[in-house]
Amino acid sequence: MSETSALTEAVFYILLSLNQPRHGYGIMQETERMSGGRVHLAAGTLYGALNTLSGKGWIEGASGSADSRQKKYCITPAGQAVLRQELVRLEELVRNGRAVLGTTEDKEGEEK
Amino acid sequence: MSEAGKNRKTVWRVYWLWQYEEEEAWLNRMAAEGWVLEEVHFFRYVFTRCQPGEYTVRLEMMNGSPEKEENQEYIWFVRGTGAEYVGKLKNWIYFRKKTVEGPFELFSDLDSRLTHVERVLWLAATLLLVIAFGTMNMMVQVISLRDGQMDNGNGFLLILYLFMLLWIGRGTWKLWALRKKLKEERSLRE
Repeated sequence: MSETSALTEAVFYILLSLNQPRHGYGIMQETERMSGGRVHLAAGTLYGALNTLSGKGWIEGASGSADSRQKKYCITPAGQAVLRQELVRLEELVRNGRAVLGTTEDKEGEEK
Repeated sequence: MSEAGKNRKTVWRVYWLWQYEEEEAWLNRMAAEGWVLEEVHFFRYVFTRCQPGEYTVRLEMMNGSPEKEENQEYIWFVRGTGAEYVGKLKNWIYFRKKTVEGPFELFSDLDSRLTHVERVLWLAATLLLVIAFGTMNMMVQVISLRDGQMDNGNGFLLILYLFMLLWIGRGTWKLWALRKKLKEERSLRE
């Protein structure tokens, strides 16, 4: 996970869902909701990612959650900066994809 | 058969270190047939009656003993997502979760699957190394004995070592191949 390379889908959704403090299960549910049920974060994958992200200082334990069994996490300003940078990258991908393939709506229109 | 006997059964079955995917698949077939994992012991699985397909079962090898604090924290974390902790066997932990509570996986991307396969692979490779040294040691002993003085016991042990070497070597190779496959896939997608 270098600063310039792409974030994984799991990391992107974890950071996004931590805009407000959540515990592990809350992150899973919010990710599922945002992606319309497409992205399921598995417990082991999520746990590993939370540890890595904490180590990088992109997220931190939210105050008032001393009990590690229901530990809540929150995004840090550093994490927000990474997320914004990723958004710029994703917008570039979408822009270029559309420029070549046309928008997804156009494609559906053609098929009708 | 007693009432308790009808709702509980023990199955003896051998799964080696490198067969954990098969083991998990079998435990889920059992759950689909209405028998959910209740206890794990060496080569012995205890099941209790459940509705067919009521549960999903998952297993994972920890880095070190499940009793270690960081591993206990992990078990609590997984429980916090709605899974039940069934038990442990050496470094392996077993979970089950009701299917109505949603899909249950421990790994949802290639990176975390790869980390887990590598953890199992290094253990298998260590075992292989130990057995390889044992085999070499045994060979030296057998060869250094003069003809006619060969102890049948040593010969038998050497054959046993060679058999184990082949068996664990095959298992290690299988894990290695799985790791390679996952690495190739990861170069294309997450």
